[in-house]
Amino acid sequence: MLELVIVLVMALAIVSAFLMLITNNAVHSALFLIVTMMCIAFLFLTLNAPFLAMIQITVYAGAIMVLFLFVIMLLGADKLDAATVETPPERRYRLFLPLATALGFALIVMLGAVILGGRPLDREVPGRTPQIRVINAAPDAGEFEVHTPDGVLVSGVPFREASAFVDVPAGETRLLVHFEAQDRMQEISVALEPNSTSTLIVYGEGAEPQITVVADDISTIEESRSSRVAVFNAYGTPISMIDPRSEFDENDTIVLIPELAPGQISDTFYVETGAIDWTFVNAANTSERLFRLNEHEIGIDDSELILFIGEPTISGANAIVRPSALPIIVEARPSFGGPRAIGYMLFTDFMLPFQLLGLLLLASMVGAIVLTHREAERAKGRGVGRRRVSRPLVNVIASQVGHEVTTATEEPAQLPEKMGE
Amino acid sequence: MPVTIDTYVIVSMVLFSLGVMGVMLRRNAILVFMSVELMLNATNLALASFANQWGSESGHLFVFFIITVAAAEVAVGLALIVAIFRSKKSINIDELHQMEG
Repeated sequence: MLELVIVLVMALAIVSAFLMLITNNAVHSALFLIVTMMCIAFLFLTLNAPFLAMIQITVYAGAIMVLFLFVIMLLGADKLDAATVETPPERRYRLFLPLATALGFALIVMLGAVILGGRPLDREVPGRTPQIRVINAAPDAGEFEVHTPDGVLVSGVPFREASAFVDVPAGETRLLVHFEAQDRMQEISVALEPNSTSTLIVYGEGAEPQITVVADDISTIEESRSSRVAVFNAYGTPISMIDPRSEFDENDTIVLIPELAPGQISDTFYVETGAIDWTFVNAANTSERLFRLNEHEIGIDDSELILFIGEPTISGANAIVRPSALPIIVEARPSFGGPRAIGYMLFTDFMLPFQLLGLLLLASMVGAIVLTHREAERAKGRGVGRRRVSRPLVNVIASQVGHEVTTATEEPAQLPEKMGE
Repeated sequence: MPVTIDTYVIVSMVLFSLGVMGVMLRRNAILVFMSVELMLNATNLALASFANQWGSESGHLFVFFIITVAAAEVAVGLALIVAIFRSKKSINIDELHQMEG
């Protein structure tokens, strides 16, 4: 059904473009061009480009075509083609004939190649390179570096922090974590799929932390006004997570995660924006409350990974390990082709072209002003001169000659000399 | 016929060719200009379909840039047409041959 609509819109675009070409009235041409542009805006929508569709309608079909129509009406140019000075067709098209033949032939060949020669455009599309980040949830680990076989991937992540996502080639990869304080190497082997994101977590108290790699979902969030949350247990014992809801009613609690073993990540779940009061309890004894996320704010379109960690309060031999929660928040990927995605790219990869574009627009503004200003000034000067000199002069000459001078003299420039005599 | 990227590219090619025809055949400078806009639109369509095929937003950025450049071009071009019309009282491109074109 949608395909039928798409084909119909494509046909409408081509037909109205053709009508734009053959109609003699420039206003009709402009209106047909607007129809074509609207059709192309619809095609943008079907190509997962909603932002471009909006721009196409507002900027192209709106602003630019308004400008066109305004100039057509200003110049009264709507029927200028009909009033053409007759040029013999052989002179008009003499130069274009070989060029048009060559271009038409090229078009037929290309169309034939696309339609008959299989699908030259249909190639294997590579996915996005897998990405990985490193979270330091080990209080006593000290400085560490993460290496791939090709070199250093991430280094110098402080405790309670996460690195940015970095690209790692897809497939089986060996990751080496080098703890500099103890000069100890630990190796982990991961298989990374294209388009995936994962997290390497260094966790556990003591001098010998553990490492693990978990899949991490930062894909686009479809639900409105909500965030994605997952919980990782970096604590020594199995935990459970509850939502107490009411402080006073024990029966009102909701169990969000029944049991999460150490080193495990929970399923992701989606939470509406707002404050949460989730509480971590001991899985074996649910009345033993370990930590409460007090009024923790959930944002919009975030991907949140909450690590439940043990944090020593005093360093040294008689350290007291206190449970704590470490939320690591990143923004989820914006939807493909949406305004946020385009905005991100404009402000990161395409910043320089964007600046150049601004300069170009400024230059064109200046150009448009200068072009029309000079012409207007010349026209104004001419009009003023004629009004001041010729109107009274006609009266003066008429009174002196004795009969009405109906037509102004051919050369108004000579009039002042006559008056001087 | 299922709608694939080929369909979009073919439509884009046809629209582009119609634009070329307009530039070559029409005598009215404003209509020549509108044909150029049609060609730019056809290019945009092709770029958007390629971006969709490859799952990369760079194509969308190029479309965005083309639309902006087209707006600048229209502003300057129409100013030129108005200026020419004021001095020549015509925007028939056959009569504008002071550059020996």
